[in-house]
Amino acid sequence: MQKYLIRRIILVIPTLWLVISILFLVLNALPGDYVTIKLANLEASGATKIEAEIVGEVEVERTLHRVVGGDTLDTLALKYGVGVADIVANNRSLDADSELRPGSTIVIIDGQLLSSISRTARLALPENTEDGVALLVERNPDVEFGTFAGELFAPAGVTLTLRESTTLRELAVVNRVGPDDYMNVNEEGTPANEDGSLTIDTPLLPGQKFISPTREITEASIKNQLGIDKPLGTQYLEYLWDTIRFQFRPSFQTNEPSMDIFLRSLPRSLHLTVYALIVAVVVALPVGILSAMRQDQWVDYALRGFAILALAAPAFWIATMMIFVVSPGGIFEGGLWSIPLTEESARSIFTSVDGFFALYTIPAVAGGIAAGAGLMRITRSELLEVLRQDYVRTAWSKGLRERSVIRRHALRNALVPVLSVFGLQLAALVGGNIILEILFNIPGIGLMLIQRLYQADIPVIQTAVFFLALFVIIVNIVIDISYALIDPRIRYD
Amino acid sequence: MSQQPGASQQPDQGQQLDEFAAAEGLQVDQATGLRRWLVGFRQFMSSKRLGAAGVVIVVLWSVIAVGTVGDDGGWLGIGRYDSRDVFEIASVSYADDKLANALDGLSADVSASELRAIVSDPDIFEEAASNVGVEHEMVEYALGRVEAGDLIDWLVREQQIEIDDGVISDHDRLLAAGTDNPLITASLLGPSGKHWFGTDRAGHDLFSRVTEGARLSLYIGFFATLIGVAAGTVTGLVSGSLGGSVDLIINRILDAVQSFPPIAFLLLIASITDPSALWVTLSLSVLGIAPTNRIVRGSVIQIREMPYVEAARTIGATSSRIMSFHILPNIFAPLIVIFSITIGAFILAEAALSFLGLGTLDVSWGKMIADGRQFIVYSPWTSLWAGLALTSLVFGFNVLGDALRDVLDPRLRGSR
Repeated sequence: MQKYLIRRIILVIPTLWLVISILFLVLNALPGDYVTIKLANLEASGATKIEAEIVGEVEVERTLHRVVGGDTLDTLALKYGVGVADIVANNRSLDADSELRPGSTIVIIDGQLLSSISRTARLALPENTEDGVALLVERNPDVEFGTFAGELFAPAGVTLTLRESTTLRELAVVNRVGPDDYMNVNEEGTPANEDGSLTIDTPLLPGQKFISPTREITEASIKNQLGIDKPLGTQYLEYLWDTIRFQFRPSFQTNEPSMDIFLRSLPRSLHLTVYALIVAVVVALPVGILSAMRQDQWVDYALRGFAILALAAPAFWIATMMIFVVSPGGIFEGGLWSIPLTEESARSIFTSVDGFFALYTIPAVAGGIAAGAGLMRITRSELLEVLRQDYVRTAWSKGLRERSVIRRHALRNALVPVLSVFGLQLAALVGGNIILEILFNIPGIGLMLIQRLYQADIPVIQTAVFFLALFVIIVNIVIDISYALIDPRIRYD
Repeated sequence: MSQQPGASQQPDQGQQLDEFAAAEGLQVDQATGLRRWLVGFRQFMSSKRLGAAGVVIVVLWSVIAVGTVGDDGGWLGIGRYDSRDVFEIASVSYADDKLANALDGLSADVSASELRAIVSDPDIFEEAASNVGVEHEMVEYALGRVEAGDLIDWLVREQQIEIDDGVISDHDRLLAAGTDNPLITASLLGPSGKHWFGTDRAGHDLFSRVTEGARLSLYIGFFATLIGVAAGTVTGLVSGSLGGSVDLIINRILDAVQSFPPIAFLLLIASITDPSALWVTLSLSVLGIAPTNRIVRGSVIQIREMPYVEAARTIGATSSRIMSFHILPNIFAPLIVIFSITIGAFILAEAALSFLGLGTLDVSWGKMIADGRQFIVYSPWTSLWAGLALTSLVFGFNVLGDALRDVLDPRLRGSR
């Protein structure tokens, strides 16, 4: 038994790998350019246009370094282009041969180099930092700059004026973007250009909002962000590695973690599945037993006929016709009850019991009838098989009542195959109720899957189908094990 | 247990019969070939009542499906309002005639697809419409392109027609306002002498649409099962007789396919392929491989150990010869059973896909059920007939499969 179990569990690995690979292949062939869709959505909401603000002044902070393992004063001195003595001078707790404790923070400069301020504030092109430094000195006559390793720095705590005003032309130059690009994104109606009077040389004051083309979201930037600009092979390996660690990528469309979306939909599907299976079992077991006990009498024929019909009728059609029956204007004037299709509270039994029954009853009955018909047929045929066994005849000849013969002797053994069908139906119902979920607007896994398919939201689909497949595999193993637990004659070697 | 279907299928009894006849000096006319099958069939029909009913249902639907092939309602004349074909509207006068007929209530002569073809050619439509005196909006409504509410607005605004606001639904208000306009009233009719099953939203005759839907269901169900069972037989034969790593690899792949929830698998495939019958058939057939493979593989492993296979092996028969002459003929019975059971399930799956709008573009029962859903309260007919047709066809295949299983291979009982 143990050996068998281990073998089964090891065989899950190649199966899951194939599932993952099939998913990857299929989803990569999804038509509909979701990058374009996403871009269009962002454009419609105006989110591609990222506003920036003209920065007029900056408060100078100290230049700090957070020590990591391997840092010594020598490496730091080399890295920042200063002498060891300069660093020691800025840190009271240090002397020239101190060991640096990883995680501690040391002060490199008690302020910021003007060249680095110029770079971050884009006062000039990176290769012309001396121009930026000159501008800073010119614009801040009151500040006393210090020197550090031969460069000017502003002491910490001082507020530096970066610019009095600027123009789009200047911004274009320091960002290496054509001036037209700035004019194009700052069209009429945008914050910098509300009345359409903005020109390339209009002075913009500090605090003025404008739209920066350098930070605009484009197809390429989306692809880069989603990680789909890499070669397919790399993407496949990354996806495989992510799945092994159960690290699923967030949704392409909303950036929400895929697991959250899956776990949010799961309870609704479970509500429906459990309700449907309860309906199925409550109908199937008594009916199957009755049918077997009255074999070849008219009750048996009627019940079997009903079961075959129920297996042939599609659940979505039964549900559609049931909606007709209960709706106002259908068979009963005024209707039987109204189905709360849009009420959020009705989707869980924990928030509204009445709502739960009003919403889930029709889909559960429609889905449960077909499942129950299958269960009923297998219960009947297995029970008939067992009732022919010698030990059952012995039980009869002992003079036991019909009830205890069926309950204590026959049913237990007949239930083994019934259990396997039950397990398979459980697995099929969780992921297979897509149509019923759509019909009744229940945002479970099925409805979520089809919506995400239309949006080509690949990570969410991958995550959901992966877990559904995992669930099917686990159910199959559990069924096989429970075979052995219920019927001690079954052994796996 | 059921009786075997006739002595004619058992060679040893036939032999005894021969000996008996020779001893008595009698001429024996033993059923062979086709006649042997006929005898078996007659026995089946008389011993299995439900199975016989299944045969009748399946044959009936097949005749209907084949009968609707062709123009002018098919050679049986039952697809009276064929709406599938796209008509070429050659001239204004032709469009004139058709529109005039439609307005005169002679809708038997005009199919919705003809109307659609007329409307889709703006030049011809404008001229024909002004000749005949029909308005664009009404034809659009008859085709289901304009909502009832919009048509009401238009009627009130442009035609100064008074609409009775006391009536509840938009559709009823339209009927009240435009009872003399067949383009409006032909939509969502109940059953009548002219339209046996009533009409749908676009004024299609439901009876002819139900008969047309049979064709798609049978076509996809049959070919998907054929391809799936054939492929499953090949993999089952190969993995069962070769064993070892081939067996392991084939079974892993099929396990992986089976781990997908079937409807999710179909959805995934449907979303990357064209909405054509071919792709629906192929994706369904993939789902048929694994169950067939399992049963064929089991049978092969059993048969492989039989003395007669061992005998064949000792006299030097190659493995391909053993497979095709000794093993394959012995798994025909389970194959026929799998075939008839699978076909019903596939027909249901195709309907489910069409219901979701992911099936084919042809007339399909699943799509009809979905179409009728919107108007379920004041006209349940569209959904009702399509669902009944679907249920009856699947019922036919299921009871046929059950009966065949009892007769041919009782071991398969409980495999589904």
